Amino acid sequence: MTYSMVAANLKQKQIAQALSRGKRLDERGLTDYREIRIERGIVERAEGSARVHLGKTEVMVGVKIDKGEP
Amino acid sequence: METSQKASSLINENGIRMDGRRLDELRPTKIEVGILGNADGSAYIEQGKNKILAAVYGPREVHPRHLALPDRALLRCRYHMAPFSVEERKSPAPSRREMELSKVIREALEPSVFVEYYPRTSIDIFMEVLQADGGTRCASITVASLALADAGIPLRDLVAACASGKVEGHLVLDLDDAEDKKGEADVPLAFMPNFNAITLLQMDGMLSLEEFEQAVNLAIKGCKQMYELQKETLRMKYVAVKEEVAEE
Repeated sequence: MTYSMVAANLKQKQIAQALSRGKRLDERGLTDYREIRIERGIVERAEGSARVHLGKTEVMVGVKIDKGEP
Repeated sequence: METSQKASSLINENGIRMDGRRLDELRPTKIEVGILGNADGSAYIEQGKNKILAAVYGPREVHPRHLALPDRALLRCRYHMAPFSVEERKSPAPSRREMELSKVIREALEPSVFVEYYPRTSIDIFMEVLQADGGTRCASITVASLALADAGIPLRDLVAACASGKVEGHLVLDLDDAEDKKGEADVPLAFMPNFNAITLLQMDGMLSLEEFEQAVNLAIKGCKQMYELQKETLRMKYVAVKEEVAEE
């Protein structure tokens, strides 16, 4: 087995063990969200903007408005 | 009492600019390192209204493999502006300007990296402009250099960049978008202070030879100030690490 397969196998077992206790790997309950943080107006130049943190995932969105033909 | 400047003038009689800065003053700047968990190194800069994120991945395997160099690392740079970063929505497709700036930024950073240490690898640098207000290529170089340092890649020196130029007959430092568009000349410059070496020098507009020399010297002064900010930001990163270790 390659290193990545061994690591994946161990992780699989870890997840299964945690689930049997009703928890995930980061100690969250089965129906718990990761920490959510929302900020608005982070890019003043854009007509609209927002940034959302979901745990370590971070998404930034900007909205531009203009007249024109599609 | 008339305190506002005429709509058409960027610099008033007292030599103060539209945002209250003196002619030789940098915009308020804030830099952070290590903000992206997935990248090997990352840094973020807010210079005036500029907001630019840089991420470094590498040294890592080159894909496609035939591009690998036998004796050194391949440096690849991508400068990209988010569609919402400018006044008029910018198409996400790479424009000619972005391709030129990607090349020019790579050439500005390359002299600082010990590429000979990592043959057959690539070091990929991504700069994303989230909000643009003039001088983004300089801010991008400054933040990319810090991201390289954050990634632990051996560097001869940090590269700091700043633009000077001529606006309404005055020599100014760190032009914002309005000054860049309406001014007579814009001189972006990147500098390695330890070697007293210029790694990027461009000029857009018209300057006499003396004015050009003055602009270069002014830009170098600005670069040295950015350099101090870069060093301080890196220092703060290790102070935080030291405190974390001390707690254990």
